Amino acid sequence: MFVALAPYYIILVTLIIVMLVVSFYRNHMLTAVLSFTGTAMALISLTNLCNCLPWWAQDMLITDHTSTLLIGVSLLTVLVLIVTGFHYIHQIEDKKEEYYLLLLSSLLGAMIMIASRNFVTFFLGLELMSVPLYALVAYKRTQRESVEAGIKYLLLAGASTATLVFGLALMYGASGTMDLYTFAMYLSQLSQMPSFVLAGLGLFLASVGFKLALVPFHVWTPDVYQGSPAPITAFLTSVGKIGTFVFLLRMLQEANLTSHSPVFYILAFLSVTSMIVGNLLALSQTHVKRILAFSSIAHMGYLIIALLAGGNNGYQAGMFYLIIYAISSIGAFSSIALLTQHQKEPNDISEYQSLYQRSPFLAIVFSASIFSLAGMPLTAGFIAKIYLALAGASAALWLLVLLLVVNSGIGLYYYTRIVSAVFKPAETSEKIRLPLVSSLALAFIIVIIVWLGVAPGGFLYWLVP
Amino acid sequence: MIPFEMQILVAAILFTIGLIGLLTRRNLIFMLMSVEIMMNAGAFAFVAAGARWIQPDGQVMFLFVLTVAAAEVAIALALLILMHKLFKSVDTNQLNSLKN
Repeated sequence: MFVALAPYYIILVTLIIVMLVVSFYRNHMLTAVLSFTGTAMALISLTNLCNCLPWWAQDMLITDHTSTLLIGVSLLTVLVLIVTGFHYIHQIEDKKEEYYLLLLSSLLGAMIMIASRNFVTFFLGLELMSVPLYALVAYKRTQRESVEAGIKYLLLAGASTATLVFGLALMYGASGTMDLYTFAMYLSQLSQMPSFVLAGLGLFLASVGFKLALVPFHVWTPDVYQGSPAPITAFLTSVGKIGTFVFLLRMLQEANLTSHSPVFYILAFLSVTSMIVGNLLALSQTHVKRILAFSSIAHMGYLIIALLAGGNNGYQAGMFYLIIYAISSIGAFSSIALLTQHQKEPNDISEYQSLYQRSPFLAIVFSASIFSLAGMPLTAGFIAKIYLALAGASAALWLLVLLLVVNSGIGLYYYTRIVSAVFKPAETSEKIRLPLVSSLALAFIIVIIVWLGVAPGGFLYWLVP
Repeated sequence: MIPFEMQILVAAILFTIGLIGLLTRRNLIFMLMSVEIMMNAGAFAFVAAGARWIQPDGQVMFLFVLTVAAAEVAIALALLILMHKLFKSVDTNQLNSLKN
């Protein structure tokens, strides 16, 4: 039992150690190193899970191929964020150490969500992830923008949590079980959905739509992404979405929910509106973090296609797209974090001008991540989009596939606008010095993006259990 | 025994009251109270569902929701104090510095 749950225990113990160290001896470097070591150890412990999978922990958690893979991605993400966030957080005058504490507890919540197979664990994981995030979003607490983003996120996320609780209660009330698999069995035996289950599923999807930032539950996204510190924006876009998506994926696949037409049409509606609205709103923006926020809305719209396609193709395409999206957005937001000087993040596209002169390496990583988000050939984002379109086509979702292709074309406009600013020369240019460890983390990201963009075969084969 | 539908109806009415409060109020404290009402409506629905199947799960979930709501309020009040310091107000209409 200990082996299968080792990553959780290690993160928990690291959390307690870091908390004790911070309360007795404040040292930014020491805290960062401790958190990094703990997260790295959790990542190493994942590789020992080999032959005991899938493994169930008392109806609450499930450790299978999917959860191991995605927990690995989350841990890697947090490792990168600890490294690149160090430089960012170091510029804040006081109270730097709590960043790691909150980040680790949020990570633990995300891990629990990824592995949850019960409504209770899903709810608790979601809250364990969100509550530290409210504080992290408002971490630069002397700045108006950050506090404003924190309050907006808290109010809307609180309302979405309440919606989730009500939805789960309705589903439990109708079926008499909170276990995901028993509930799925109950659903698959129904020919017609009772109104309680339908209402519950609707509320559940609304709450999930909020977490994944799907239109029409997306209004918080641009403001919160803009106001929160860049490493936290990276966390929100990647780890913050993985857990919710996986639970939705498990539920849909187990219960074969997309064969019920109301659920299918709700999801298709969310997907279509997210793709179109996200891309169109991004066109008129000039603030880079806002552009990426709207692009994340569009990306989540694409991702829903994989859910609707279902089956092994849908699973493979969805997982691949999710992982690639997480890695690419980590690359983009980490670069923004490293560009930050004196607590001043570069905001407008014009502030990214001549980045190539100031730091060629950073410019290349940033543009590669942006290109991967845009789905340019030779980057991982392209392969991910191809597989998504294939999965959609094999399930004959022609309208959605067509919209995916058209919207990727529209997206190119605002992505290339950012990249062309990066390579535009300017006269005044002072060099940016990158810390060595951060450069290594960025090099790791660009290697993954290019490697999976050129030779994704082995990874794709490995994705399917 | 009161039918399950009636219990859910009460929960739904509570939820709607909270939602309307959240949408119409502009004072942060009242908005937080509205969110709490919505949370408690959901928790109440859980108790009703647990009673329907004669299982303790619903009440256990109620305790979890209560705990989580308390944790949320702790952060919310800290943010409220920060907002009062920075904006000299708890009116959410003042929160308009984030735009393109």
